[in-house]
Amino acid sequence: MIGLRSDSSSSLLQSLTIQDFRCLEGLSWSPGPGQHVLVGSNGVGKTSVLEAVYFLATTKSFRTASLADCLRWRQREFWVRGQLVGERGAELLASWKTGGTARQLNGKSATFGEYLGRVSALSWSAKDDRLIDGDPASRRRLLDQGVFAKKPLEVGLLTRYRRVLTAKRRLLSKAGNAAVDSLESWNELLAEAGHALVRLRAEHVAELGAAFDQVLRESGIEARPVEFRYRPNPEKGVESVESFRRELALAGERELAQKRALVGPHLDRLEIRWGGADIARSASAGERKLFGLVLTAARRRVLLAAGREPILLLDDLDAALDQDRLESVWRLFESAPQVLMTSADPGTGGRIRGVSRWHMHGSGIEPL
Amino acid sequence: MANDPFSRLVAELSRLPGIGPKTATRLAQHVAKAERSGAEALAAAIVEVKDKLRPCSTCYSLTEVDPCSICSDPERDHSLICVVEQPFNIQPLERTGEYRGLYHVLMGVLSPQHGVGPEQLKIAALMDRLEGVKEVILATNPDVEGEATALYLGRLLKARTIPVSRLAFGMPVGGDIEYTDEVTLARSLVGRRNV
Ligand SMILES: [Zn+2]
Repeated sequence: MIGLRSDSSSSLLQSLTIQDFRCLEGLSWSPGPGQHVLVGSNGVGKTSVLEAVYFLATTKSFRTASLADCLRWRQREFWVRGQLVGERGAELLASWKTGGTARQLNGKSATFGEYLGRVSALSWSAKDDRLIDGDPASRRRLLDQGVFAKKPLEVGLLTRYRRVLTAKRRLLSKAGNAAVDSLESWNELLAEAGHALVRLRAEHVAELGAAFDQVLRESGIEARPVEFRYRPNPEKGVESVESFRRELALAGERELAQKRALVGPHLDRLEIRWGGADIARSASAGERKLFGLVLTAARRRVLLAAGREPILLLDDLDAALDQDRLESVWRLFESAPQVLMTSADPGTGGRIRGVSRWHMHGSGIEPL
Repeated sequence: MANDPFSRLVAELSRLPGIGPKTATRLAQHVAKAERSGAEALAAAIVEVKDKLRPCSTCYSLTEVDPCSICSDPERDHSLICVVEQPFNIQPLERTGEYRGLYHVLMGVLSPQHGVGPEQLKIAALMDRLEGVKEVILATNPDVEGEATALYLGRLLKARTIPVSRLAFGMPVGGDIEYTDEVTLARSLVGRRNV
């Protein structure tokens, strides 16, 4: 058995309504807890349903950084409403229009922290491979997603760090003597927020690495060992605010000369090594997919340990997997209390035991 | 947009901070229904604020007489200065009844994004007021800009060996003095910590 059975603190999705999201004009679906696969032809909007669930749970998309992409043609606003069941059951409503996202909890507008505290979601799609290609920014995003999915109330820290960094960059770009004069104050705030951020990230990478090993061991999947190495910037910034401050001071002159912020977690790196070598160069396509799936199972385990069992969203899990491979991969997720999957293969429900099959077509979703 | 008097009033009211079109309409309806004398008093009060209030030449609060009633009050503790961002930050602190010193309004906060550096704020004027001052309380807001400003002033003041303290904000980060209740503010004044 992979993973721990979830405790009762998790919230699962009973039903949802999607309005003007991508190609979905108006769609209701009541999957309820358990494991579900959504089958239908390409372009019918299966992935958009998963994306809408992800938006409901996180107010973000796993496909785009710009939510404007999710707006149905010629509409002004999209929204997703969901009924949660479980100990923290509630009605959630997330909407977007130009100008921003709005969140409601049981009919009242809610802070980011209150809202995210109710539910959590974790997605996997083949596109997650990009992570492996080593773009440092996407890896930092992955890190922060993990950190703040676990601790939604601390998300203000990231906002704070970004605001200080923006101010500092603006100051450096002008860099007169007057700028230098107040730079120290911004650096002080940068050190405080930066230290807190690298601490959270370091802690998360350690948990993720341990969970990854555990998942791999329990699954019996044969794979080369994987190592996650977190390289905070500055390296010593993890120790204390004081050492973070010292590193900033050391870089002070270079920063002024180059007019750039050269120290801080906006430059952190996450190295992923696969059998001792950089994963971007050494893994085959099949290994990459496997890595991404094990990583997803590991991320779920970390969330679960924090009492934040996620709704798992797996897009096209079965693509390019033969029956044996699919069965061993499914073992990574079968203990999750709620899994929503898509598949272009009408047979897939049958290929995975115990999964409810749904047919999605132009006018809605029906049980198969 | 319609240009009748009622719509013009609604338009003007909705330009005020925190007033949406709905509230503006309700306020305008109230004014339209009110006695003429009430409307005149409101209009006169608005014009008077612009005509008669000007910054105090010492502390930069808005006042009818210069120096303002706080700066010229001999009963107040002139060895204590509380530094705030804006003139309207003074009222909430006064309402707590906990503070008997003077104020200094910076007329803003450090904000590189908005091109505000130390020279755009009333910092030099504060430095000119330090003779005989035993403590400066930094009461800028607990957001990023307010904190940076407090840190900056803290360093300047310590270089002049003036004891500096910061309001002990029990309020959530990002909370404004303006929107913080009196009890919380009073507590943050009493519990202010040295920096
Ligand atoms: Zn005055």
